[in-house]
Amino acid sequence: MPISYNGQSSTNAILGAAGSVTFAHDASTESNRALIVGLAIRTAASTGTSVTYAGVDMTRIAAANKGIVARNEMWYLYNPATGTNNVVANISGGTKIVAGAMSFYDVDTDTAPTATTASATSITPKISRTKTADDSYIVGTLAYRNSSTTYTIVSGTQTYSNSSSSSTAGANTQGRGMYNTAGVSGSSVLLSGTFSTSREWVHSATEIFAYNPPSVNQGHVIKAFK
Amino acid sequence: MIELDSLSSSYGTSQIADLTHVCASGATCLIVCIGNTPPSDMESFSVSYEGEAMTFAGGASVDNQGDNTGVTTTVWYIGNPPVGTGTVSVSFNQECNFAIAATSYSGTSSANPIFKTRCGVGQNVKELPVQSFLKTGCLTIGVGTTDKLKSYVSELTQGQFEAYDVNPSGIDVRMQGIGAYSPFDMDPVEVNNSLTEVADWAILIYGIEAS
Repeated sequence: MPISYNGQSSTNAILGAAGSVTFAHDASTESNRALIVGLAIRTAASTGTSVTYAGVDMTRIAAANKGIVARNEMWYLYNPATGTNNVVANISGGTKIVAGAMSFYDVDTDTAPTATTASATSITPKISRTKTADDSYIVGTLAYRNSSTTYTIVSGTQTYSNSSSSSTAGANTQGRGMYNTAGVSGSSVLLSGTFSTSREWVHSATEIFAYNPPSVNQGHVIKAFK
Repeated sequence: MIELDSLSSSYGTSQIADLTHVCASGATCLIVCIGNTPPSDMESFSVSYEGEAMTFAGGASVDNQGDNTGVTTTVWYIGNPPVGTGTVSVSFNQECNFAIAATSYSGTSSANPIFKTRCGVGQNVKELPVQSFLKTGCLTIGVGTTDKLKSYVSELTQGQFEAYDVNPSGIDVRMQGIGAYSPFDMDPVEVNNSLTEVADWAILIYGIEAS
C-alpha cells in the first residue's frame, strides 16, 4: 500500500523569552498516520524542549546547528490523533522560529524512524539518504538564516514554507519541509534546493516506510465428493 | 507585600502612542504591557517613561501568514519611577492598532522587578499551559493580546490580584491582563488564558519580584 501525503501547516514567531509556539494541523482520519514536525530556530542556543500534538509528546529524531545562527530539529509521532489538533512546540529561550508540520498516512508505524543531518554555508542546501525500501519516502526539514533569501527546491516536493519576520533580514530564520518519493532500495535520494545567496543552513532527513498489510491466508477450498 | 499603586490604559491607531500615568510616592516600579497589530519587530520599537528608556522584559510576536496580520505583546519596566503624573511614550516601527496598560506597584524590587518571563503564540483557541513561578511573595501576571475583537477570557486558580481589559471599539486589537499572588514557595500560581473564538494571540506570563 503506497504512502500518501496528507498536508502541511506552519507558523512563525518571535519569542522574547522561553515559551511556546502553537499552531493547528490536520493529521487526517486515514489509517497508519505519521506526523513530522520541523523547527527552524535562529538562535542555536535555544532548543526545543518538547513538542506535542493534541497533548501527546512527540519524539525528537534530529537536532543540529550551523554555528550559532541556525538550528534544525525534527520530531515525529506515529498515529497522532485524527483530525485537526494543536502542535505545541516549547522552546528553551528567546529566538525567532518557524515551526512546520507535515503528515502522511499508510505508513509503517511499527518501524521507528531515524534521521541524518547535514549543514554548511553555501548556495545549495542538500542532504542525501540511501533508501532501504522501494516504496519508502525520504522526508526532510530545512532551517536557514535570513528572511530575504529565497529558496527554490530542486530535488523533492516542498511542503511547508515559512519565515520569521523582523526588520533585520539576517536576524531571522526560514523553515521548509519536503519529501522525495523517487528511487528504489539502495539508491541515494537527494533533497536539495538553491538559495538566492549563500546562507548558513541545516538539513535533516528521515525515511518513512509504506504500510504493508499482513498477508491473508487464502486457504484452500476442499470439496468433498461423494 | 506587593501592592498595586495605580493602573492606566489606552488604545488607538498610530505609530507614536502616549499614555498618562500617575505614580504614588511609594511606587517601586512601573510596568507597561503593549499589544499591537500588525506585529512589530520588538527590537525596533522603544518605550520610555518621562523620557527615560524602559527596559524590555519579554515579548512574543506571531505573523503566521507572513502578511502583517499577526500580533505582538511586550512587557517593559522601570524601577523607582518619578513620582506624580508622567507620560509613557511608545514608538512603534509602523502605524498599528495598539492597546497599552501601565501598572505601578509598591513593595517590588526596584532594581529587577520582573524576574522571569514566559511567552506563547498561536492562531487558534488556546489555553496557555499552567505557569508556576514559585517564589515567595511574587506576583504572577498573565497578559494576552488578540488581533480581533474576540471574547478573551482569563481565569485564575487563586485570588485575583488585579485585572484590566483594554477592549477598544472598532479597532482590531484587544489586550487583557490578570494577576495572581503567590504567598509561599510551594504554592503554585496558575494563570489560564483562553479564547472563545479562533484568533491570533500572543501571551506573556511574568513574575514580579518582591522587595
